[in-house]
Amino acid sequence: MNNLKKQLSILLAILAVICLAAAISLVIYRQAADRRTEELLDSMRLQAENETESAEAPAPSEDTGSEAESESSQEPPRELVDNPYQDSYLANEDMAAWLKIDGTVIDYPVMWTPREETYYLYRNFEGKDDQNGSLILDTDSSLDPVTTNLIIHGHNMRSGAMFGSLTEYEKESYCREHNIITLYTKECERRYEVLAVFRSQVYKKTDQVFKFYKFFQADTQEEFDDFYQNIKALSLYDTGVTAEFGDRFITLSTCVYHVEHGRFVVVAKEIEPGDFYAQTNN
Amino acid sequence: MKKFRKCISLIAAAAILALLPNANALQASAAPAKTIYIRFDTDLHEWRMQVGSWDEGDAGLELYYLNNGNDSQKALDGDTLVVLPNTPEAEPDEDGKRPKQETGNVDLKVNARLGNLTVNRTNVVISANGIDECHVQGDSSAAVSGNVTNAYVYDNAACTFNNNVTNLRLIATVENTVDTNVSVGGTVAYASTANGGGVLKEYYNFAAGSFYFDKNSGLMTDPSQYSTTGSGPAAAPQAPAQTTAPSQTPTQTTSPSSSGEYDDVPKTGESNLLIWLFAGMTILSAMCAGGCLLVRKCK
Repeated sequence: MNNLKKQLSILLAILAVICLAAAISLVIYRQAADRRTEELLDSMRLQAENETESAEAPAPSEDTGSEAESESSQEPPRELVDNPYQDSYLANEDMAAWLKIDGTVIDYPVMWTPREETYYLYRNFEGKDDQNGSLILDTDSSLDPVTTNLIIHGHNMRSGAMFGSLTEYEKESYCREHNIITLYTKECERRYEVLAVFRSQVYKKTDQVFKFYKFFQADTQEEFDDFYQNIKALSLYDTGVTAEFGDRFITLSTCVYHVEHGRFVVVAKEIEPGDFYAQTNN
Repeated sequence: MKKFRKCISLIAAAAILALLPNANALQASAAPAKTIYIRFDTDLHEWRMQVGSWDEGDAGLELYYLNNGNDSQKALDGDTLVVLPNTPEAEPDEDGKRPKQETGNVDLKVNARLGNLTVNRTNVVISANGIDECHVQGDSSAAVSGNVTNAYVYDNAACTFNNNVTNLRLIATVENTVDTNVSVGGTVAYASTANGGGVLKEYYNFAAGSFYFDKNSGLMTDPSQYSTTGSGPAAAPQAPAQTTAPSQTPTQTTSPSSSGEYDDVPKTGESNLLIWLFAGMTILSAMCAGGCLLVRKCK
């Protein structure tokens, strides 16, 4: 009997050691992956900063002038600057944009893979396995031509990475301080102002309810009204921002656990764009 | 020593439960939903019930068992209740129509939230803790107490809902026009009329007690009491929700009980693998330590 107990204890000890070893290996692997990704992202951020600084320098850009004039003769010519993230676009053609919210950790590339929407969900910018994954632009959204609503999904990481800090928007004061979302696309710097913040969920296919994640394009006033009224009604507080038919939106979505398949959602309305970028041949 | 053994057994049981996938979903399995048939027996001259299917050769049970029988007899949450026409049913006339049955009303009080109530060519007065799906067929009349999630009233049926109805559909299957008489004592989040060609009209957010549809005149509700704009049928409230006011805002949650696939949206939650591994390691270590201690004590 004692022998049996001894054998059982040894077996349990072996299992415990296996669990411990697996957990430690996983932690080490994840930390290494996190570090590698963070270094990569830092270098991309630094490049973008340098590009921006050089663009802000007084010397005129080579690309300014003629292209803008030829694009539209009615609008006043707009100075074209170099895209601060052009190197990143060149490094990976799956990158659709760069998302940044000043004062937050949200400063990441947004990947778009129509062939497989979730390809980058657990992969970093380089396509290597990474628990944080990357921000992904819903494949029903498009930047060329741009759809009414761009939906970006990101992991709600306990570390705060990706959209781990998005739920901070539940606080109205936080929203006021971080109300501008910037999306650096290939063409221009799109700016958005937070319009609504709410909790929702992924519904069953048969559920006949407002599904924020199904709104991509408003071709009629009715379609717009349906989306707008619903998000305003769901919003946790009044942001003071209004929208009308013809406006464009960005929707940031991440998992939360108030209900099964819960989602935390921040919807922002596009405002005046920032810089327009000279097109690079890639 | 016995206490120590018991302690080890408990830890082992907890470990097994914790390490089982979906252990947090473990729960006592409820009996599957059953179908209860109710019918007026012309021989016995009383309403009888049977469970599972209606067997003409079986006299069935008295309605007393609907609330007082054992679990395989009485109505439980999620069960289906079907009220059938007379047995034997009257023969159809020359036009193929069956004469309306004169059996009087069956007065049912069900101490459960029914998954489905179907009233087929009979007159029913029913009170339940709520009904998920309520079908009132043509040639029937029903008075329903308890909130109803989805109500379907067909052809020339007459129906009174005494409480709230989330989605109410008036459907003509024989004629092109809807000729039901329906009134609702509570609110109606969404109502529609339809025939074989599809949905005819849709209405939203009726104030409490305002819904009245007349078979000759159509919707009799004052336009100020409802809206004609909305976004389709409302989501089912979580049972047993007792909503009292019409909601302009969309429902954020649905009942998690029913099965079905979810929309395809990327899952952006963080993996819990690491937590599970550490939990497993801790529990196994504790068990191992306990085992070692036990061996030493036995020695």
